[in-house]
Amino acid sequence: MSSYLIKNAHIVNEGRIFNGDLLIKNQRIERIAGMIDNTMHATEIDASGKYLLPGVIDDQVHFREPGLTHKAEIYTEAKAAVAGGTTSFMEMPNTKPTTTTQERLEAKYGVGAQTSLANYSFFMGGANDNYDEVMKTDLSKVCGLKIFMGSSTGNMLVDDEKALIDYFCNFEGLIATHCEDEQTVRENERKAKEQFGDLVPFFMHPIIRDEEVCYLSSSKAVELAKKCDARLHILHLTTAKELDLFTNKIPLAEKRITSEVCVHHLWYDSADYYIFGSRIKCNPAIKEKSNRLALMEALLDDRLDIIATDHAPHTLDEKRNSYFKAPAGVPLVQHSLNMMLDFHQQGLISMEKVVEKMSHAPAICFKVKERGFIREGYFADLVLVDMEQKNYVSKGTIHYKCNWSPLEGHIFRNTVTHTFVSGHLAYANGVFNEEKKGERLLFDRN
Amino acid sequence: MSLLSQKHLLGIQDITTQDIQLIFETAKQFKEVINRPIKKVPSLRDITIANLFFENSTRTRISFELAEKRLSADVINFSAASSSTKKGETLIDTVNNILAMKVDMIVMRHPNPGAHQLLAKHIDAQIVNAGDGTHEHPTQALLDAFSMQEKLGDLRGKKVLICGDIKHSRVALSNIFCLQKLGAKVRVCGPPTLIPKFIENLGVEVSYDIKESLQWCDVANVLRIQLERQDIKYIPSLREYSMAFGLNKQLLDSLKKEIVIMHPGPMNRGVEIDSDVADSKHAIILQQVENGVAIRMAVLYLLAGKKE
Repeated sequence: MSSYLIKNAHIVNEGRIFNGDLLIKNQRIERIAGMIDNTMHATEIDASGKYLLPGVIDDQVHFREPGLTHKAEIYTEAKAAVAGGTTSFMEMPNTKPTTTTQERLEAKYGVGAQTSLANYSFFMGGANDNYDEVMKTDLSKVCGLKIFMGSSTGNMLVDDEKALIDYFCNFEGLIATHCEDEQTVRENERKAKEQFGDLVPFFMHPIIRDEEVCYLSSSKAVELAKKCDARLHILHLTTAKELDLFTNKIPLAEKRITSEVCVHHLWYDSADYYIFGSRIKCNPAIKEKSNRLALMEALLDDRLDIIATDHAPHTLDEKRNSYFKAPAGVPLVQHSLNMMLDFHQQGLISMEKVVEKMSHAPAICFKVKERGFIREGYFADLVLVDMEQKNYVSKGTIHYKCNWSPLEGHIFRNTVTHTFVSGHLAYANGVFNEEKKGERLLFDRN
Repeated sequence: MSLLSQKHLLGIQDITTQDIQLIFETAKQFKEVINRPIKKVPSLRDITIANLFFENSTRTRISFELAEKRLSADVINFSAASSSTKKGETLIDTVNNILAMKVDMIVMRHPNPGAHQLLAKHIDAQIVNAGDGTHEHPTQALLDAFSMQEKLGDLRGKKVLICGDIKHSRVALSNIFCLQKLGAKVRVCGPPTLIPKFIENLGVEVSYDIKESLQWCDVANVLRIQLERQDIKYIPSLREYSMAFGLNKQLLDSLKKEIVIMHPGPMNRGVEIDSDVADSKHAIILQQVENGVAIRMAVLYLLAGKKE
């Protein structure tokens, strides 16, 4: 295993930015100091003017394997993640077949071990009828349980009230939920059909899946979690109304109910459906501008804990369908850090906060073992970012299997130049080194 | 496939209340877009629009052209001065010649009322009426009502006064149709010579008393005296018109309430409206212009109705 010495970087970690050197040895961060002499003949990387961040931990991605590999594979999407500075991901269970048994879950870990350039963890999927399987989950090796309280892509809706209560009251690990009220969605779809027939335009998406749809479901999840004292994590919040369900009065580590926001809900607003149409059709829908501003505010005041992507690739052919046939989901994992740093460059958020929400907070929230921070002894999951180098998003630079992004044509003024995954320099200036794969995430849970 | 109930936008009379609300919702979103640093969006890429102006226009033409360009449509302009209609070609032939070059949409202003209806019967492309004689000017009515709604909220039960040269105004007629569809009460006010006979049959109130009418209304939409259409003398003199029907600060101060002042432009300052009224905080004249681009983007977008 090679050693690396990163020289003269602006190190961003735990609320501070300081200049220094960092030595990587045996997968881990050996030393952090103002100046380190290269006595061990480690490979030196001159990081003058660049920023060194802990690698991003993305707690919500869909990599489509097994069964939907025409859209994406763990191999391709993990590479894209690494190119964008995401060193660890947690993947969702709505694959084909769904990840609802321990056997299928472990099979996924097997694929991850063989193909994923990034560190990986896979969610167990909760359905109406697999309670016993779910309860066998090893909490020190699996990130959590995913429950769809509102169906998205794939058929995993938990609509049986009793099953829901069983999970909330008995599952000891983290329960991540997708919250949208299915009945209200159906009703709104019917109304839209009345007006437009089968060719409902895409700008109706945030009207069909509106604020009420989200609030009905997320408030119910919170109520249930409080009753059962469940460890609830609500994914991809999109509305101002839901934000008061969350507190910023206690530290993240003590919260029993945590929240996540996705980059596209901070980036786009409902007007963009007129521009991008089906390309940004996603569930929950992207809402009006006032919601976008409220989400950013809640992120800054810690009512929202984590930033993720909900990376959900589909092929462009699938996307080029009419409203009811076009699948929901947007591929984003390669650009989440770029997008958040773009917000930083617009003066909307500090770089320390970006790092807190993308690396530290997921690590705390999921109790990830020895990752998410730049600390001596921790795994060397690190990203070097050049905040001046331009980064033009085009098909040539997109690594997703589906090979498109709604961001095509956008020019970022920040670029990920190097990514270390567990001490292995997996990506440097556009070139991958795939000799060593990522590792399975472990969790500090008693 | 148009997302409105009609293939064309010929007049407000033809479209439904639901159409109007859809246009407003869309315009609201496009207004948001044109206030971004990057205003141009690819929504109408590959759509070609011809702007045919058989009558002079500055702001409407610019507003349409900007709307088209912000949506990334390809735009060609055509004005009567340089046209072959001067050489004796019929309207339908002129337009068909342009369509043969694969144009998807026509935005047309024409001095003859009903020219658009005639055209709609004979050609395939979609038509947007940018004013036909003294008949209709639908996008102006939409942007006026949209601006009112922005200022006042739901227009149901709101009282709107249209004052000035009603007889020669296509804005007035479209405004009346649009406001009534949105549930507002409409009154027209002006000298009897400039108010068409039987206009009350449209369900509007008629008044010749400007002060009482201003006291009654929530919004006053002040129309221009159309000097170019005064072929016979409808009013004794501009000075006299201004004294009897012009809006000035003194008149507005004498009201017991604040009203919103609108003007579709171009203004004749000192005739139908005084500078201290036009430039006051009650006037939303420049907001109307801004909304004009958003409304026209919405109309073009919804008529084009791209599926993806």
